Amino acid sequence: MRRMQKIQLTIDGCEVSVRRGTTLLEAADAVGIDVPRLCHLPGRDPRAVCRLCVVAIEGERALVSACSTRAEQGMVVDASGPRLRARRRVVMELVLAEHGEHGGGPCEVELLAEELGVEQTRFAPQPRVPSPGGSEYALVESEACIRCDRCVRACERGVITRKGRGPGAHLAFDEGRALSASSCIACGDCLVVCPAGGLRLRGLFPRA
Amino acid sequence: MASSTRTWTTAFTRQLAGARALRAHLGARWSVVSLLIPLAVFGAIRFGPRAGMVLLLSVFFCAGLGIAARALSGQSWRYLNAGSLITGLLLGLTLSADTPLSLILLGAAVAEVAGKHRSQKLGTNPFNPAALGRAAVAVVELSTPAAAVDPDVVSSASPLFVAAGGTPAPELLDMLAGTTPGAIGETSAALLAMTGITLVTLVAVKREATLGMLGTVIVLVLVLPASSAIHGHAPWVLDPVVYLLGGPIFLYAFFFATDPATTPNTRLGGLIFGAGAGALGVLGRLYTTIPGPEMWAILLMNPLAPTLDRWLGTARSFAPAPGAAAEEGVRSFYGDVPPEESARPPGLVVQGIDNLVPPGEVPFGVLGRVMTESRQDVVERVRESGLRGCGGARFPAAMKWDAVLAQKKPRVLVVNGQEGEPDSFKDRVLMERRPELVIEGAAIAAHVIEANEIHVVHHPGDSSVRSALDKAISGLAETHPELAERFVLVEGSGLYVCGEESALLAFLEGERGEPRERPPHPTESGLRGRPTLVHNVETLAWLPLLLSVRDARAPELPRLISVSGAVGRPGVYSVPRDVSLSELVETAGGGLGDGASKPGLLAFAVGGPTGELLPASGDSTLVGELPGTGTLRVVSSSSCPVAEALNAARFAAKETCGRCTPCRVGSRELERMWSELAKGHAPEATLSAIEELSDTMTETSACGLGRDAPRRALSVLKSFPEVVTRHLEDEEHECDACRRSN
Repeated sequence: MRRMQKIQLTIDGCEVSVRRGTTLLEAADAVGIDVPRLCHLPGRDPRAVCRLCVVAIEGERALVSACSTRAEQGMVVDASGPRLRARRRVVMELVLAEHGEHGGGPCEVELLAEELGVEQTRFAPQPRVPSPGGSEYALVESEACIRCDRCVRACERGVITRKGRGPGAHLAFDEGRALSASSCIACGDCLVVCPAGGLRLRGLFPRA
Repeated sequence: MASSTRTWTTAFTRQLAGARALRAHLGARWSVVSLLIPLAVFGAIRFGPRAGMVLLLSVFFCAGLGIAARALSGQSWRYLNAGSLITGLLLGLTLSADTPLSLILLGAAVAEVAGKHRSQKLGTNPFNPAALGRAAVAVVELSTPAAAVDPDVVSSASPLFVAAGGTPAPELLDMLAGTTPGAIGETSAALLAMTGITLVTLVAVKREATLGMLGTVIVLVLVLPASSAIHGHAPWVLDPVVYLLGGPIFLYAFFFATDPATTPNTRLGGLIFGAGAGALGVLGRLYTTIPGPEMWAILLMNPLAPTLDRWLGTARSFAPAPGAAAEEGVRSFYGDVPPEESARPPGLVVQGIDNLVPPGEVPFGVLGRVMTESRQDVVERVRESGLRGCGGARFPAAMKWDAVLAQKKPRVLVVNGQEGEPDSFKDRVLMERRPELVIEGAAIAAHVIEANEIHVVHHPGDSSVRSALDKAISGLAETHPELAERFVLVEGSGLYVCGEESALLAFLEGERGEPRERPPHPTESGLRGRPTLVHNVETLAWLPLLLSVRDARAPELPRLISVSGAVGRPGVYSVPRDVSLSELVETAGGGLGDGASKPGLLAFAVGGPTGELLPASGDSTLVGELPGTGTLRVVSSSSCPVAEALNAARFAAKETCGRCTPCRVGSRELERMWSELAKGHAPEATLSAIEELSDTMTETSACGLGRDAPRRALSVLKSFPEVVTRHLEDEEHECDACRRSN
């Protein structure tokens, strides 16, 4: 058994002591430093694709994603400096360029954009691969999808996968069926984790 | 008054948003666990520590068996499975407080082992696991004489069951509060209704079976006649209020009939399922003496769910959509040419490449001598030579060797000869013209790091490279058969992103060719988790020469430069490092051939598709300073820097794997903005947007492709500002090169 060693690091000037193997995001959460995130799914392997949780480590040139970077002894981390905030706002604009209209009220993406002070995006709406359709239980609005892969990771049956390359990256059910014709059993795991309102539960008595 | 209503509404909305956030954080199944916990706590308080013990043991056994099953089927058991906790809690809640330890273990074993697939994968079981486990306990209880039951225990049959000697009809308040007898979790109708309604409004997706079950019960209890056939169950079961509140129906309707795995996959199917279960339960109560008929009703309906799905036309088994297997095909950077014909641009000049061959050596002679030295000595010689990777990143080779050697065997060597980078073709030329150097270098590296697999990846469809490599491996087999048999030739994907080490390894494993998160680095955990050394073809090809003599220094070696573009003799040139680019262009027949129409030189595009664009006039860059893989494309003055930037942006937009947001959306947006600029349609604000987006991509992208993608375009902004300004909102701007590129 590995020994449970403690690691000391500094985040935004705040001394933090965490167990070995803790990510920078978990360490920041532990001391209440708010690092924005969209693709993070607690308890699942990080995908580090939304890039909103980027932080700067002193002495390193590139920014790193806090959700996938493990804390190391003596690290000095900047998690909310002005440069980071500026970068995150541009990344959020890119997210919004992909995040189209959807029903069901404001979603996590929109609430976070508001929090980051991003009211609108300078970038053009992105084209997308239309979804072959949802099911009786779930609405699929591919216009809203931001490709965070949360649903892909939440789906224990492996029904949801990501297909396509580059801007054509999109979700597929059983490699390209409508959800109603797939092996989905409607457990609801994907519906509760979608941050973009792209996968939503239909009402019990849906209007036609 | 109105304001107080608004306050309440706001408070409620906030609570609901909080509940939704909590639900997203927990996920669907952990939310179910959180709803079952209040029931368990109430049961433990109502029926005492013994009931608490039953619940704890049930959960403990189920969780343990679930973890064991997952570990045995080779899955990660790091994360406690919420499914096992739900099963354990539901089983415990349906037991009575006096259930002996052996029966709890039996129930848990039946639920977790017999009731679920070996892999514990959701939705592979025909029966509700908790109901199946409870049924096993019921069978044993029924076959045991009633005398064995301890008469002192409080929890026993529900008020719907006639106790010996007769019990009075239950009071409404008792039923709501749960002070009636029954199983641990079924007595408090109020608590069950609260958690159950929360479940169906916020968490559960399949809610039709619950409606069907409750509705059918109410109707049937009202409709069916009170007959003398009613025996065993109390006469007041015919009161729907007592039936609903006094018995276990809420527990089953809310928590068992919403199980996604064992109920039908359509709304109509769910209604039928629920109606069937409700009807069977009522019939059981009215006409049999079997205890817990609702549990049996659920179990009887479970196997009908697939049948209902078939009738109502929903597939349940996994079947990939037609044509799904033929995903992204092989792509060639030469455009739409079929791969077989795209081997390389015709008429390449190859100059000085023979300088790589160690003078006076027989093939594989250096390898033979290296094998007599100690491995550590060879690593030290490579370190002292200062050899760096020639695939673009120029990482010191010996540091990679150290990193791999620090890991346990078996180790793997991957020779990256895919060369998905436009403007570069030296690796292909090397593999075709001097394959024995590549193979010898690979054999040396494999010997030193003790790799028992060597994968040589070449560009797809490149048959001449493949046969040359094959011949060289046969040559190696004559002197070192044990090394030769470790070689495998692999056709690469041809995608630019697969030049990135981790993406190449993902491709070799048969997955999407996309970069993986680091750490772990490939040197720690690479191909199929084995420590893997990935080297570019050229890096390895230099090894025989470097190791053939003592004290050879890599920085003194010439560089292999792929020269293309506006030159008379494009090709691979072996060039000393102190030669300037202008001299090299001269050697390669700078400018395009014949006198009069010879256009002037505009710029040098170096470093593949993501390097800078250097103005040709007054350039004093030396060959030794070329970044990346050593490419030089000569741009004539008939082209335009803006068109060059647009082409680079377009390349990035085409080659992005689409995994992370800055690269996927950003490269497309860069392409769009450069395209507008090239058309003369862009407002001044575009320039600052380009710069801001470029910096963001450089700093936040997940891998090197996205970080480097904006570099060429940025160098155009820096080195050709007046050309860029001319393109700004100038409808009259005539730029042939830009028009061609757009």
